[in-house]
Amino acid sequence: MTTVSASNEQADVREPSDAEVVERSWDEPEAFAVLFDRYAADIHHYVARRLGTGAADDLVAETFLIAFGRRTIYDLRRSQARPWLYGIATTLVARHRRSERRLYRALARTGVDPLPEPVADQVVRRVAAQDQQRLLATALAGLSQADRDVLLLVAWGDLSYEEVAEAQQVPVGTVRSRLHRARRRVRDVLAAAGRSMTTEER
Amino acid sequence: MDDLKLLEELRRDIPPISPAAARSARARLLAAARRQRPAVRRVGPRGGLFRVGWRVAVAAALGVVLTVGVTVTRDPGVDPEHPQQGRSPAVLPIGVANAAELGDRAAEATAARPDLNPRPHQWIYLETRRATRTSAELFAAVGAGRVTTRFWHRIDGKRFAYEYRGRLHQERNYQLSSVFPLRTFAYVRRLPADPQALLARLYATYSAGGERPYGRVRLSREEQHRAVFGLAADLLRDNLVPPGVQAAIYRALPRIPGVQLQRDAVDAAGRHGVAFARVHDGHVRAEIILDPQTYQYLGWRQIVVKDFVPNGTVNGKRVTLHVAPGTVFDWTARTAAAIVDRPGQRP
Repeated sequence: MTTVSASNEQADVREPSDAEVVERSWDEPEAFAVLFDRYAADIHHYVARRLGTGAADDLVAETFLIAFGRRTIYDLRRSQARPWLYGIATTLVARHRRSERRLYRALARTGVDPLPEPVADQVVRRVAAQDQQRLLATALAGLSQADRDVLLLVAWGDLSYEEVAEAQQVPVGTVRSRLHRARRRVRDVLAAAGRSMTTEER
Repeated sequence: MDDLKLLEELRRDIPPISPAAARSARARLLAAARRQRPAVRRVGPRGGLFRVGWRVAVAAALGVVLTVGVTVTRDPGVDPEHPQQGRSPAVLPIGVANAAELGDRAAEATAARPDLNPRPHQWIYLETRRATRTSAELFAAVGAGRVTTRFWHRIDGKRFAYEYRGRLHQERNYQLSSVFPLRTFAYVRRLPADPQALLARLYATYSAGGERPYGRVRLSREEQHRAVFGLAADLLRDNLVPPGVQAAIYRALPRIPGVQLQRDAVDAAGRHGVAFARVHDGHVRAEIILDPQTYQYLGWRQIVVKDFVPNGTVNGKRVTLHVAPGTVFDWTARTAAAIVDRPGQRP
């Protein structure tokens, strides 16, 4: 999964790279807001899927404040700040790991996602997809924090293996093995459920 | 069945960041960025507009004053727009559940700060960003305009100075206390550092036999609560309060009936904070706004939340007004505060 999002490609053509923005912010702190404008919405969505929008509101603000505080130690060779920002956000999410797991478990057990329903007509689709969602939530709740972080950075954060490695500050090999383990676990849960459903139908 | 594809769908419909949340988060970042500039050193929290108490002509206007704690304010120092100085990153404390908890946390943070020990001839310097009123009338709404005001008042409370059009003006014999006692630093410093004792002291001010002119007027319980909340707000806004007393104020505020936690409040400089809020008589919400992380004092706001028809007497004339909900008529932000050696001196 290679990921340079469309907006970033454009940014590279017409606008300064993230690294350039960070460098400029050393003298001109307010310039850092450019990174906010580029990534806040994505990071919010990623965090909101894990913890809900309320917590995401706070976490996004905190992510950028922390990033801002670390701007002088940013490695300017990394032209994309995305993995860095996702890494900070993911670390902050970990502080809420208990509530994150509780939310998955609630979804798994009840079929009702405790995270806010976006629009009314979602309810219909929700019900249809419910079983699958419950299974996925079961699987997510059962993962270790590290495995879950890698899986969701890939699935929801849209990061490549290399970017996840950068975000989590671990070797790419570790990312691969964590992702492998996480996916196998998800597949196992889905497969086990598939078997039992077939049994019931028969 | 691709597990990753399935996973990509899970919770995909979570709503995007709301414009308000994005604005607020961005504002926090910018506030932190501005703080990186050579900043005015801020000693202690506190504040807002130092109201030179040209409070409405005394007892005659008491009805109005006490109704909402509004004062007719003469602007001693009005300054051209001034870029706001640094501010706190503002991540709302997720854990604060109610006003009492806010009081406790703010008190703990405050009590940990170094004490203030100014010498008698030093001065308290306060810089305030204040929303300007759209007219001179009582309860006139504030508009988009902002001014920065700078005041110095001497520790002993006997002298007062302010900046006006770039020039420093000094007043000797600064005495308003014959009518409304000035809350000098000497007064503030002597207040009890125990919340319950402090509260008793503040209520005594507005009870029979209390401070003039209040002691001569019989106030209802509700009027007393308002008045005490307003006095606490004045102390925070118009002075530098020693940490011990300030912590006591924070713990005392939630004990005033009707005081609630307000999770998001904005000061006149656009900074977001948490507030002790009280809706007076169902009409006007008064907010004492604190930084959500450091609990330093940020500012003060009064907003009409329900149609409000105050009456009172001003200069011998009976006044009845109609004020619409949403009207903000008192809005400040403390942007700097320090103890300095001379009037006109800034940190």
